[in-house]
Amino acid sequence: MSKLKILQPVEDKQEFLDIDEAASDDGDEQKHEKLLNAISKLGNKKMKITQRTEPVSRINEHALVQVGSGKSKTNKIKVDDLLNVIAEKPRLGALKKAVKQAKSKSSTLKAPLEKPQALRVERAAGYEKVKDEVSKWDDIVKGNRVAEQLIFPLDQPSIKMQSASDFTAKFKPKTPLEQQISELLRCNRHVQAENEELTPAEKEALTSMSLKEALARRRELAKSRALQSYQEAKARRQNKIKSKTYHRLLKKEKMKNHVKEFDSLKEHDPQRALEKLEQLDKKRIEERMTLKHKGAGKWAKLQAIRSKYDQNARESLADQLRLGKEVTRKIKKPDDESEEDIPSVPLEKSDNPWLGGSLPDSSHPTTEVTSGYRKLWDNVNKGREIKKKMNKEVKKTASKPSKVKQSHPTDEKIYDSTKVDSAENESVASESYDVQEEFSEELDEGLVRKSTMEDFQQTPEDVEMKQITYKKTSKKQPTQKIDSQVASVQAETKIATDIDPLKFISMPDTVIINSSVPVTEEGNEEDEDEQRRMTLAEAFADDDVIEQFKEEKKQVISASTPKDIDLTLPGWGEWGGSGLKLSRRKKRQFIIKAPPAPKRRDDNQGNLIINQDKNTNMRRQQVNDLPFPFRSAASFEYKIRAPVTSTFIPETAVRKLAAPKVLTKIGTIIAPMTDEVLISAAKRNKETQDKMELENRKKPTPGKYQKRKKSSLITKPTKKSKIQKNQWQITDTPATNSLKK
Amino acid sequence: MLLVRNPDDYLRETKRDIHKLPRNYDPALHPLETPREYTRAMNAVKLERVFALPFIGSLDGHRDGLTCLGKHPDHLSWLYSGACDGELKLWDVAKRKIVYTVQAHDGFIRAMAFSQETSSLYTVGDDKLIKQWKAQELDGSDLKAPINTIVTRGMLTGISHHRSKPVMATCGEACNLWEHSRAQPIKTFQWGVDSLQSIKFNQVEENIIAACGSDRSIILYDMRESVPVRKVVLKMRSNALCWNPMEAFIFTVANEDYNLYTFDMRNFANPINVHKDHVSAVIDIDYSPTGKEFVSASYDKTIRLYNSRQAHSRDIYHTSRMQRLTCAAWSLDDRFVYSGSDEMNIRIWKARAAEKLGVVKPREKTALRVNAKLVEKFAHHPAIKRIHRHRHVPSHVYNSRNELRNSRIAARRKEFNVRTHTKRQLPIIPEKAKVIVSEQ
Repeated sequence: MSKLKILQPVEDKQEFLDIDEAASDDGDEQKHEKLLNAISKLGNKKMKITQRTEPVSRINEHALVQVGSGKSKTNKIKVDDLLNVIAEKPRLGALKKAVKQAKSKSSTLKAPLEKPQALRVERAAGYEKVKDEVSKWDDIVKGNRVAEQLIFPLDQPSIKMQSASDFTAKFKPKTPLEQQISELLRCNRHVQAENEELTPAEKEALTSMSLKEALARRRELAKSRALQSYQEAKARRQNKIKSKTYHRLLKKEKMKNHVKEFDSLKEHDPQRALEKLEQLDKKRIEERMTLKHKGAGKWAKLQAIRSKYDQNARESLADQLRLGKEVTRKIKKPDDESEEDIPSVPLEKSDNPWLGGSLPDSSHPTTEVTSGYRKLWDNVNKGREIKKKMNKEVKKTASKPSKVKQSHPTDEKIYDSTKVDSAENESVASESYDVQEEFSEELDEGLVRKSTMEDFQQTPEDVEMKQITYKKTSKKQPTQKIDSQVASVQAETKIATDIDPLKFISMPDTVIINSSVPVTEEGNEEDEDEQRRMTLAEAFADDDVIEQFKEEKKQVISASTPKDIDLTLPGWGEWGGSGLKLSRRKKRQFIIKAPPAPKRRDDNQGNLIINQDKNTNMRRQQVNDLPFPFRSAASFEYKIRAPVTSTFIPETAVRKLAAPKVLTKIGTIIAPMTDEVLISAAKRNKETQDKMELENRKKPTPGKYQKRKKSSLITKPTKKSKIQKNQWQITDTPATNSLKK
Repeated sequence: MLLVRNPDDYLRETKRDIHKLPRNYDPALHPLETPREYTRAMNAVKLERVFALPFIGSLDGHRDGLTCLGKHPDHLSWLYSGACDGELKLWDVAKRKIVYTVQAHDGFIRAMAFSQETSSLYTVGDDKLIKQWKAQELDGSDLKAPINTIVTRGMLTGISHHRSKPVMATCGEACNLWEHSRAQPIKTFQWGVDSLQSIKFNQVEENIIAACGSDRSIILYDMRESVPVRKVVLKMRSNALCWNPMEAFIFTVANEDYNLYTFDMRNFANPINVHKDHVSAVIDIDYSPTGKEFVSASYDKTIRLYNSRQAHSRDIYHTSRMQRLTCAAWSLDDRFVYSGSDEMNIRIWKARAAEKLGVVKPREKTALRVNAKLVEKFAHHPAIKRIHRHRHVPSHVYNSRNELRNSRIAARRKEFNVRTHTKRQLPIIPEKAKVIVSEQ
C-alpha cells in the first residue's frame, strides 16, 4: 500500500506527459488550437500547479523522460553545450577541467550479478565475518578444555590481594616532587636494595678497617712495592751484562735449578712433576721451531766468514749446527722404546714413566728433556755403543734372549731413562729389524704404534688377562711366555705376526708350535679377507653369546623348578649351634618336598628357551593396548605405579590429586559464558605481560631478545594470549586460579 | 642423627580432632602399593554401580504427551512444560508439584523461550500464535493470561530469544525475527522453500542463530545480516539443535539417523564429533550448563548422557514405563536432568547416577573423590573397565544395537570387498565426512 502511495504522483506526471505526447502525434490541428486557446486563457489567471514531492526509496526509471525525446536526436542536450555557456565565466574554469577529466576516465560499469549469485557472495562474506568474530573465543575455549580444574560459575570475582611490592613495582614518579623524591631515594646509600640484606652504607661500615689495621696494611704494601722495584732494577742490571761466560753460567745455573726443582717435585708431587716435564718439553719444541741453531742468523753468518781463518769460530759454528741437529731430532715416546723390555711390568711403565726402574741419578731424566743438549748427546752416544754391543751379543746368543736380558740389566735401565730415539736405533739396528717394523706397521693400524714383535705379543696377552671367564687360557699364559722366551728371536717375531684372533681363545699353544715360517714371507701371506675377519673377530672377542645363553637357560630352568620348602626352626626340640646336622625326624616333618619338575618342552633343544609360565588368567586382568592419551608404555606404567590414596602419600597430596575436574556449587545457576570472561582474560593477559616486563627489567642481560619478543607480542594479540595460556598450564599462578574460578 | 619429638606431630589440638597417625610414606615400605590400589579401585567401581540410582521422581499431571520443557533462567526449581493439548504447566521441581496450569494454545505447544531481561516466557503453538507470559510470581498467578499475543501468518514450530536484546526468532516456514513491541517480524530469512523445525540463538556470541530445516539442512544466520549465512545438508534430518553454552562456536544436532553431530560453526566440511549409541532417532538434546556434557532424548525410549568430546555415551537412563521421549533438559545447576515423554510424564534424573544427594561431610567428600580418582586411574584395566561400562539396557535396545552393529559390519565388509575387487581405486571418505551431503 505504502509503495503505491509513493508512486502515485510520479505516475500522474507520467500520464500528463503521455497525453501531451499523444496530442502532438495525432496532429489534430483543431483540437490543438482549442487547447492553445484554453491555455492562453488560463495564463491570464496565472494558475499555480502544486507538485507534491516525497522522498522515494527507488526512482522509477519510467518517470525519467528526456527533454527532447519526441524530436530528433540532435536536440539532445550534451554536457559540452552546457560547458560552452560556462566558458564565458572564468571562475568556473576549474569545473570545466574536472568534467573533462571525468570524461576521459569514464567507463561503463559491469552489469550487476544475477540474484542467486549476488546472494551467494553476500552469504560468503557474512560467513567470513561471523567466523572471524567467533574466533575470538578460541583461546578461552581451549584454555577451559585443558584446564586442570574448572570452577563454575566461571565469572567469580577474584579476591586477590595486591601487595605493596606489586604496587611499588608498577609505580612511576610523575610529578616533579615525586621525581625529586625518587631521585633522592635512588642515590641514597641508606636505602636497602632488593634481594639484599644490607644497605650500601651498612656494608661499607662493616668492611671498613681500624686505624691500626690500615697502617699495618700500608706498611706491608710499601714493603712489597720496594721489593718489587729492587728486583726490577736487578733484572735490568743483569740484562745489561754482555759477558758470554756470565750468561753461560747463568744458563747452567738455571738449568740446575730446573733439575733440582724437578727432582724434588718428582718425589713429592708426581702430578706437578709431569706438568713441569711437559713445560720443559714445550720449551724444547719452541726451540725447534725457531731458526736459532740453523746457522741462518746474523752471528752464524759472521762466524761462517770468520771460520776460514779462525779455529774458534769454526768450532763454535760446528757446535751450533750440531745443537740444531740435536734439537730437531725426534724424541721417541717412552712406550715405543720397549725393545728389550721385560714383559712382566709393561703396564706400570706406560702409566708412570719415572716410577718404573729408573736410576736414582737425577741428571738422567732431565737431560733427556731439558736443553742440556751436550749431556743428552753424550748419553745418546753411550747408548749407541751399548746397543751395538748388545746386538752383537744377540746375534751370538740368538736362541737365548732371556739370558740377554739378564746379562744387561743396567743397560736396560739406561735405555729406560734415556729414551733413545727410534731414528738412532734404526740407524744402528740390523736391517732385518727395519724390514720387520715396516711390515708390522702396514698390517694393522691402530692408535698405539707397535714397533717390535713383543709389542704385538703383549697386546693379545693383555686382552686375555682382562677376560675373566676364560680361566683356561689365562692359566696357559705363563707357559706361553716361557715358550716365547725359549724360542728364537725369529720365532718370536713369528708369534707376534702369526696370531690368529679367531682362534686365540681356544688354542693359543698350537700357533706357537706351528710357527716356523720366515719373517719376511709373513706380509705376503696376509689377505684382505683374512684381515677383515680378524678385525671382526677382535671386535666380538669379548662377548661369548653361547655361554651367556646357556647361563640364562640354566637360570630359567632353575627358576621354574619347584623347590623344597624348609620349615625347620634351628634349635627347636634339639641342640642348637653351628655345624649340627638336621635329624631325620625333623627333615621328614618340616621339610616339604617339592614335586618333581614337569618336563620342559625345551629340554632337548639346546638353542631354545620356551617360556612356559605364561599365566592366561593373569593376562586377562592386564591392559592389552596402550590407552589413548599415553604415548609410551613406560609413561602409562609410571602413572599406574604412582599411588593416589592416603595410605601411601600424604593427605594434602591426595586432595590435590583427587581434585575433580569440574566443580559446581549446589543451588547455583551456571549462566552461559559472557563477554566479561573475555575482558577479564584480556586484563589478566595484560597483568601477566606487565609482570613479564617487570621481570625483564630486573634481568637486563637477555634484554634485547626479550624486548623483541615483547614487541611481537604487542603486534600480534592472538599469539600473546596463546603464550600466556601455556603459562597457565605450566605454572599454577594465582592468576590462573582466578580464571578458573 | 637427631631424634626430634614434636608434640605437634602426634597430639591432636582439640578433643574433637581426629587422632593423628604418624605414617611413613617411604615407598620401600609399601611394596604392594599398586595391587592394593587396584583392589580399592575395584571396590570403588563396584560401589559406584551399586549406588547408581539415577531416577529421582516423575512429575505427572499432564493429560497429553509432552512437547517442550522450559528451565527458568533465574529460578532453579521452576520448570515449565508444554503438552500436545496446549496446556502449559509450571512445576516446582523441589516439591515435585504443579504450581499452575493454563490452557495456553489450541493444539500443540511447540516450543518456549525465556527472556531474562523482562522475565517473561514466550510460547508458540499450532494456533499460529506467539504468546508472551510473565514469569515472575512464585505462585504462578501471572500465568493467568498472556500479557501479549502476536498473530502470525504462518505455521510456527520453534522459538528462541536473544540473550540480551528484546529480539526473538521463530521458525516455521521461514525464520522470522521479532521485536517485543512490534506485531510484524522485523526481518525474515528465507532460503529455499522448506520449513524449519528447531531454532536456537547462540547464548555466547549472541547475534548468531542456528536452525534445523526439514530439507535435512542446518542453517546459520547472523541477526545483523540480511541473508542467511551458511547452510549444510546432512544425510538425514536433524530434529533439534543446541549450542554449547561455554564454547561459542560449538553446537550439536540430534539427527534422525540415531546419531548426534557436534559441529564447529567455522568448519562445516565435517562434524568434529559423531555421538553414537542411540538405536532410534534422536529427538531432543540439551547441553549441561558447564558445556562439558549433554543429554539426548531419543525415540528408542532412553536418555543418554554424553561427554561432549566423546563419541560414546557415558550413561543411559531408562525405565520400563517411559515411552518415546520428546524433550530433555539439563538443569542449570548441572545436577539434574529432566525428560519429557509421550506418556505424559516429566522425569527427574540425577546427572551423575551414583552421586549422593544431600549433605556430604568433608571426609566423605574426599573419600568419594579419591574413589573416583582410583576408578579413573585404573579405568583401562579390563575387569574395572567392564564393571564401569556395564549398563542394563532394555531388550529392544540390546537387540537393535546388535542388529545395527551387524549391519555396520556388513556394510564395512561390503565396502572392503568392493575396494578389493574393483580396478579403479575408490576415494576413501572418512566416516565423519560421509554424513555431510553439501555445504552452501
